[in-house]
Amino acid sequence: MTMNQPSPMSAPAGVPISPPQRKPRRKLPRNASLLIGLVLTALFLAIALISFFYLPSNPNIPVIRNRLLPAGTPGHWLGTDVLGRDIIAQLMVGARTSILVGAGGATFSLILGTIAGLAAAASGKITDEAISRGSDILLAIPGMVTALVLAATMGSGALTTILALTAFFTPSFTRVIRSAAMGVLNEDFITAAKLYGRGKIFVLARHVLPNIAGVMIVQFTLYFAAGILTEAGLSYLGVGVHRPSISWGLMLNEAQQQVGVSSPLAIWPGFAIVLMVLGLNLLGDGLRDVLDPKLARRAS
Amino acid sequence: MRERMHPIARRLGLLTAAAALFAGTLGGTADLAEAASPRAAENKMVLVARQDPGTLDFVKSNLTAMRLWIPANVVEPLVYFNKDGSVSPGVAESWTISDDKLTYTFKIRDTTFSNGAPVTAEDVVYSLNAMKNSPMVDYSAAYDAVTAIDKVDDHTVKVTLSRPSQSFWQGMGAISGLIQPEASAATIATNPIGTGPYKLKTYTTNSAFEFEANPTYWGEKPAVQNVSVRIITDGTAGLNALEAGEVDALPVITIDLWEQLSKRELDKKYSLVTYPQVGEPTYAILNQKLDKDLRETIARTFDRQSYNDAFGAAWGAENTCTFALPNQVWYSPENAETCPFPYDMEGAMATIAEKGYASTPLEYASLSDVPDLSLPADIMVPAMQAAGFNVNRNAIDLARYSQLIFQGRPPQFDVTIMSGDANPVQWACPDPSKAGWSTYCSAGYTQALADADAALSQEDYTVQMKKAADILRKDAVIVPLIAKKGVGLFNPDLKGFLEPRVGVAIEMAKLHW
Repeated sequence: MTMNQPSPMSAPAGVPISPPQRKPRRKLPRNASLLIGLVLTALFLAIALISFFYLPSNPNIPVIRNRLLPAGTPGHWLGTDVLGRDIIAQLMVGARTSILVGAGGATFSLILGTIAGLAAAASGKITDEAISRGSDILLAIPGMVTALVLAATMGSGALTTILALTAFFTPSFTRVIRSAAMGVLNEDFITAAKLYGRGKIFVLARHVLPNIAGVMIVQFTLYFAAGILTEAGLSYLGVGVHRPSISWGLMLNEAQQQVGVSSPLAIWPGFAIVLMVLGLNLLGDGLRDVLDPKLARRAS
Repeated sequence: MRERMHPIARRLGLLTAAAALFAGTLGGTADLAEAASPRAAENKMVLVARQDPGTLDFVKSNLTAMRLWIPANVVEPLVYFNKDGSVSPGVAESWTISDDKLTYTFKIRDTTFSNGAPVTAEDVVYSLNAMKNSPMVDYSAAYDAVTAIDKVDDHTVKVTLSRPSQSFWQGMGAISGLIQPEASAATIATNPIGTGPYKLKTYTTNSAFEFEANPTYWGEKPAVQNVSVRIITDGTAGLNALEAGEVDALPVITIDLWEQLSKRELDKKYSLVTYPQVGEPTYAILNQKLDKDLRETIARTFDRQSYNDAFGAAWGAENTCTFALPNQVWYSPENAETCPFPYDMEGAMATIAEKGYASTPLEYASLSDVPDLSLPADIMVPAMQAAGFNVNRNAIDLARYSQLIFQGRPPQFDVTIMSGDANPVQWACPDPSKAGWSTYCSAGYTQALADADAALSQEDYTVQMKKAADILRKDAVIVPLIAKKGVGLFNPDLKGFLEPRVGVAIEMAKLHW
């Protein structure tokens, strides 16, 4: 099994080459991917938020007399697991954990990848080579091995999973950001800014970052989705989160033994993962369409 | 003149005939569904094993995957201990035990091994010495009191002990007493030889064992001439193979399949057998460093029935407060007499409030990748929290669990749960500074075990073992929860299953169509 990672090839498509001339809002209603992606993502974010205030029952308290109730049972509309715990409550808390871990991994990777990518793009050849080759080396290490080593040394859990995702995604982010930043740094307005006496950090912050924001946002959504998938895989293998934390991957892990007895136990979290990842991927695609002027020009 | 039938009567007759035909058809279908295995006519049977043992060296391996098939079938012990407490001859035709229980003299049967070589006193001396020096402590422990193993004549062997030892005598009916030819010792890992009712034809790693009846067997010939033990690691695939008629029995069905077995009603369609020998006790361990009152209060939050119910198979396990399996003489199911700390949430909550235990942080270490241990933990931890304990669950995988608990000194847990070997001697601890991973050390318990081993009669042995079990349960460090049984599923036409007499070995020779 390999860790899920979106193709870096999809990233740099449409790096804007000049300061702000985009008007994304105008295109929103016409972009079906974006709309569906937004709805699905918002739905799961809403479920995760609601879970902080309301749950149908405690997803960690066993009620043995209710074990393996089928879907449609009043009070347990998606049924219960082997210890009588409500599936809906577990899915709601699972959404919280899966989103937290996926978003956490993607956010930390984005931050570290952006710093490293900008440093590689803006510094001299030696720094660039060091960062680029370092990324290559890190990319050559299987993500699952990194996760297993971290779980063995630090103990498994949400934090370890976020760290594993960060370690795995950061090199890819670095490559994408470096590539996008180099494109911007070659533009005339950057040369003008330098001639005007602007420092390197000011140029990166004021001119480069805003111009690669579209790439960053699109990449973030794709890695967010990949993070959710990876977390599910790690928890399924028993090196992700554990109770009392609940994630969709953990639910799959626990359902494994009961698949021959009660297959919906595996279907519900699987369905949630598919919808959430689909939503994020569609959102990423939609945002790319909206934020990428080349694609927009081609479409028009 | 022929009498004409009334039309209504004729129609009733036709209806009856049609009903009979329909019933016959149904009956025929039912007969077809329950038809005997095609292998019955060929005098064969196919059994399923879940694991490949890797090696068949019964001196150096204690893997259940090997112990299920080789002992009793291929290699026999000196004697057999029967379920009713009687002792039957094995390789030893007869035996005498001195009154002081210090000298055992075995008269060796005049027979041959399955390779045709005669069984000699030298082979017996060699076999017993091999087991005495076995790296498996479970096997060599039987010889702790043995000072000499001598050949008296070609068919007599004398074993001398420094003190009476029940474990020696019981070992002679277990793996510690298996007899093999010295000349074939080099091939033991792939082709063990013995005097058993079967001989191993082939063993193909990760595939199958093929046995055939031993033509020189000294006892009653096996009813089924050829036995194939197919290794099917996927449990569901094994059950499917049984339903499809491809195999005739799964003598050992692990706990992960119990729920499926019930839901598919296989326990009704096939002959379900339960037997304790392959079972395991599941028990909580409360670190001995914790205050005894605190340990007792924790023990009162354990709802054994919930743990049992969680496995979804009422026939698979018994609630117990005794560290034993139901075939051990000191075993007792859960009851008021043998459970000093029964489930009592209200009592536990009152004690926690009274003694302020809520302020004591407790770490519950649970194995995350062993479902039949994480499932009870899923019940136990919320119950402890509901009672008022400040307990944090540290769910860790087996590698880290080994590091922190099995090898960690001191072991890093306050509460944990385990399942495994029912041997009570594993908790013996003569020196508190050398307490094992369980943290348990009790001079009283260790002495009671020693007294039991030195018992001169079975009655005295039972009394001493019950005394040891009582000390163990009252100390509230090792807290037994349930005794899981061995579960097997057989084609209804395959009869004669006998509870294992030599460890966990399935005695194939007793099975018949």
